[in-house]
Amino acid sequence: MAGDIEKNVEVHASVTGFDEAAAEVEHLEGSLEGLTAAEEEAGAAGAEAGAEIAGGMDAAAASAAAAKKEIAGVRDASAESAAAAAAEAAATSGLAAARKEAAASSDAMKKALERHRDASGHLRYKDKWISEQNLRGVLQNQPGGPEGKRTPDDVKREMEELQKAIRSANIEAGGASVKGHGALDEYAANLEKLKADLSEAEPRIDAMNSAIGGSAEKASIASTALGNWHGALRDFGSGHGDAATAKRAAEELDGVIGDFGRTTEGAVRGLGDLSGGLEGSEGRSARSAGRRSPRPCLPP
Amino acid sequence: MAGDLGELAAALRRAGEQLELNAARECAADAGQAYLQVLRGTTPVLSGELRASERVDSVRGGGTFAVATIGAHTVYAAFRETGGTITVKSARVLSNGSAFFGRSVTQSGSHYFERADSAAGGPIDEACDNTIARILRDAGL
Repeated sequence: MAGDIEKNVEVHASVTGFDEAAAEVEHLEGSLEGLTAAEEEAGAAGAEAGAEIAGGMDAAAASAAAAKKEIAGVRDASAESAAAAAAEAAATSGLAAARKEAAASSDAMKKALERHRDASGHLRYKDKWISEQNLRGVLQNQPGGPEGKRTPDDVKREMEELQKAIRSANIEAGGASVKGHGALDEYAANLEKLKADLSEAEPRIDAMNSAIGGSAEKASIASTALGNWHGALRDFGSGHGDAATAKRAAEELDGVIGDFGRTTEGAVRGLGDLSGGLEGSEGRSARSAGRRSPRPCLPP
Repeated sequence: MAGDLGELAAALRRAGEQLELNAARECAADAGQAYLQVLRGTTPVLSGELRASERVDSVRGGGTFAVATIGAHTVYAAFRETGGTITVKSARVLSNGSAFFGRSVTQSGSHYFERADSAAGGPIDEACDNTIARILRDAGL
């Protein structure tokens, strides 16, 4: 139509990248599918591995339990073996000691018998003829005899000797520089008490001695302290020692007695140890030391 | 997730195809309508005949290029755009029935198309955006 007017609106549409985007998405999709499959596979493998691990752990636990049981068995066996070995060793040791002691006793008995043999070769005891068998019996029953056997009576007697020695020492010491010290009297009193306790506890001494078979260390301490004490007193009494040494030794013995306790039970135990220490046994040097210590202190 | 991605890839491919085939044409149609609305705003109105004669005459093209044609369809549509001198040919004077204008009359142009061109840029872009969005949405994006 004449007079019309028109206007064109032009549109240019540039469409790019959609295919590429779709391709990327598809690639991602593929990757995710692969990943999912891998995850599923891994999950399955993990589950399988878990089952295997669980089975392995069960097997390991079973093995461990079996091993534990086996070890326990071995331990039991080795404990038995050790006990048997220890028993055997003890028996062997005891046998050797017994043989040694028997040999020593035999030698001592022979020497003792020889001392009672006169020029004609007969055995005499207290100016009487005596058979070898009877003389052996007499010698064997003497305190500190050739067989070395001691009874509670032996110990009690030796305690009395020790007490005498103490009082003698005290007198000697009292006559010198430690007059009025009183410590040795106290120890003598302690021994008096110990002796009384010993009388009361006499029936139990053997049992206690057995029970304290492992108290060799205490016996050693007691005998050592006793020996030191006696040595110090003897030196002091002969004018070679000094009061301080005697006092120190006395305190040491006091400590030992204190350790053993002064109650009846403690005294008995202490006496048990002490008597063990005094008990003559060639296999126990500590006890031998304890046995020897009182002798040099007897009054001249 | 993999299924969602598959759908996304398919939607992208559908959108790509639709855009390559129809985006320019559909955008031109909508842009023409947008221009028409702007034109109707700039068209001088006395009786309304000129404005009422304005329409999207055609949308042509396809693929990545299309053209929408908007026209005003009165005998003075173009005259009102550009203006001009009207000279009497057979009558003695020019008259509109109530007034006489002599043997010729000169009118200035309204330039309503020209002013519509200046004002239609934004609406056309917005219309195209909406068209693309619709295509993408229809494609499943």
